[in-house]
Amino acid sequence: MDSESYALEVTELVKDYGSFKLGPISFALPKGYIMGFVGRNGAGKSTTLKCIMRSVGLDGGTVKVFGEYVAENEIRIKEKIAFSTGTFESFPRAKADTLAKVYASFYPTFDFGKYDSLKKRFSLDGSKRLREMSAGMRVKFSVALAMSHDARLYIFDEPTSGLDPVSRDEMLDLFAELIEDGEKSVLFSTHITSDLDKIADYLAIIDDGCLIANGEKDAVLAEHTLVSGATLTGEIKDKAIGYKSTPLGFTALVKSADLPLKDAEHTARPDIEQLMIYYSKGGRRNDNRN
Amino acid sequence: MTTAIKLAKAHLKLNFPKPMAILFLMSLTMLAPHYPRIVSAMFFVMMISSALGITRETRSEELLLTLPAKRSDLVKGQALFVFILQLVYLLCCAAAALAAMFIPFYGKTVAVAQPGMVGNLAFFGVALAVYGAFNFAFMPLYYIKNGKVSPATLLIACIAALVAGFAVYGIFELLAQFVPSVGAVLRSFDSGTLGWQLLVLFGGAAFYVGASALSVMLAVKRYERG
Repeated sequence: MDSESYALEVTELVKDYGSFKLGPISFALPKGYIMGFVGRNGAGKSTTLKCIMRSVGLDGGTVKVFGEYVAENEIRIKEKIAFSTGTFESFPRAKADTLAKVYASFYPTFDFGKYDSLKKRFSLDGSKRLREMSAGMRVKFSVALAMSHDARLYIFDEPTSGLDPVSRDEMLDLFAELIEDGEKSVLFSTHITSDLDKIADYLAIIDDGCLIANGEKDAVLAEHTLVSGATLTGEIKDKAIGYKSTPLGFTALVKSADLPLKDAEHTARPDIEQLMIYYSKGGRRNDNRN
Repeated sequence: MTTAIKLAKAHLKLNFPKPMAILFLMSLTMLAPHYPRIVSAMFFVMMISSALGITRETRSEELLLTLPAKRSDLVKGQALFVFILQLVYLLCCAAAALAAMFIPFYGKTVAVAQPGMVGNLAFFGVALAVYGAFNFAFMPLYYIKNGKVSPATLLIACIAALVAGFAVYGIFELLAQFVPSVGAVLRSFDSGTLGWQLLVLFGGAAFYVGASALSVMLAVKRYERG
């Protein structure tokens, strides 16, 4: 695929806070798809998204949106991006509609009609101050703001974390609707892996600042196999990305390419949650950090 | 610059709660007998530290950083917001000082009988120079690398800026004390010194603009490294 086929290309991205280092990480999101960015709390998901949005400076690497470097055309490119965070605490004293007016002044394509219809869809009261709204309502407001201008890349940072199951399902439906025209793309971070099972086409898994798996969701899952049996042998330990062992037996995550393994009595396809857990437990990474 | 102006407007609309406007009333201490005028002129610090503290605590800056604006615009916008508050506050002080002149049995008699400078035109020139020094110290200290502003960062920046501001004021006060011709300009309402008072006013304004512009440049440089 050429560069313009991608909504987002992150290459060798590095951010060093001293106490925490992100990267180098690289991944790409093709146009018209949804990518789930998954990892445990503190894995580096929000830092990566902040680097993409240039909310924090980069210590290395590049970010391209629709083939253009963000660093070179920051304002124009950011107009094409809608960003929303799941922990929306900003401007608590402001009324929702006042904040929307200020927000709209930065986006030439902001559509108040769209904003009103999203408020209606989310049952939001624009005359309320943000501090009077519940955490879930603030998240919905943040998503409504982000979706009211003509963006082509939607970046959501844990948009479903504060929502009840029904609202979460509605939100996921909304994301799925977004990409229907094939021109818009969604990157959303979460640690709720069931969300990704439902709608993600692509997957990037991050742990402790390192990208541990990345690609088409089904391909990433197919690359891994869960093996289980009675005795955890040295061969399986060597090949295991991570494993759990009890007196009754073991379960280990291995690369499918390493199969067959002697003493692996059962094999199964892992789900995203299992990938996340075993990679975090095992500490074996397929990145290029020295 | 347009984006910075939009950001300054955003701060004024969203980050300056209406109840905080009551702090403008502190400018009325310009009317208080035997009260140092420079102290009256420095209450803007309470407004700035509260407004910036709220921005930090509510992580409002993070939202602004996701808008179509450069990191440098964020600093410029916030600096503009600070400068607007400063200048509006100083205008309130000037209005109070002017009003004092017309209060029966108060006027010049009480206004002159106070420690330090009197609230004449030259004083506002000195106040602008003090504000300039304040900004010069405050901005680069507040906008630290990575933009991680802790309560301590804000406190340190405020204290350092106040020290810088009062140091500048101290220089003028010493000159007024030991150089009679300077004292005549800074400590009287004599219309004979009006020309000199205006010179100090414009000199202070020029220093304010220069120091504030430089402070923004330094802050942007520091913040962009983050």
